[in-house]
Amino acid sequence: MKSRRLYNRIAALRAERGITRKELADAIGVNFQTVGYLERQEYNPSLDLAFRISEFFGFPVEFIFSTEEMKPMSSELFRRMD
Amino acid sequence: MRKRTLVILNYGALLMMNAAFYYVFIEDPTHLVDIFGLSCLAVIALTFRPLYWRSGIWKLTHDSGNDLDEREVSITREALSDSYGWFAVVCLLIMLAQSLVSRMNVCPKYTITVPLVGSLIYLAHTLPGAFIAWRDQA
Repeated sequence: MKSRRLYNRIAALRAERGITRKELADAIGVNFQTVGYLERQEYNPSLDLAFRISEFFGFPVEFIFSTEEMKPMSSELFRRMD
Repeated sequence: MRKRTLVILNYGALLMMNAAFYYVFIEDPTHLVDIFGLSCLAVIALTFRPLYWRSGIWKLTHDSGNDLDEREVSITREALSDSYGWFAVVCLLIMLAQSLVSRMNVCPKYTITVPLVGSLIYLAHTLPGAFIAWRDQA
């Protein structure tokens, strides 16, 4: 079965925290190249890895990953404030 | 794109090297053929380092699976599965060529050579890595 493409906010969250790919990779237990593949949405993580990423950033999984293209976090925030 | 070019150069040189060492069975060997064969060997060695060693691909196909993350395990498993099939095809083609050459009496002196056996061992070790490099567009 061909899996669907998963969209994510890993690149934006990592940039916001000012951490390198290597630091994130070490924290979640993967190779730094894998973080690049995740950020470019060329690889769908397992449920375990998705939870490790969400625990690292302290956000729910559904905030970081989605099956639909994600809006920028600023517009999401504006929508919630509205 | 660079990795694909290196794969083509590496396997192209391997093929040319075998052609050069096969040629000596047909014609009287000259030093030019030897030099060409050795030049191909040098190209193989020169492209091996950036393609398999520095890129970390060798680690993917030769290290213990426990040292790899889930993406690496997934791409390595796929590459190994494909390379088993293709390696069998290459071996069968060599056997077919050997059989045809001996039946047609094209080159009666021809036999399986040390470079050919060495090339097959090299191919068995590098083919999974070549699949990974070919598919890696990053």
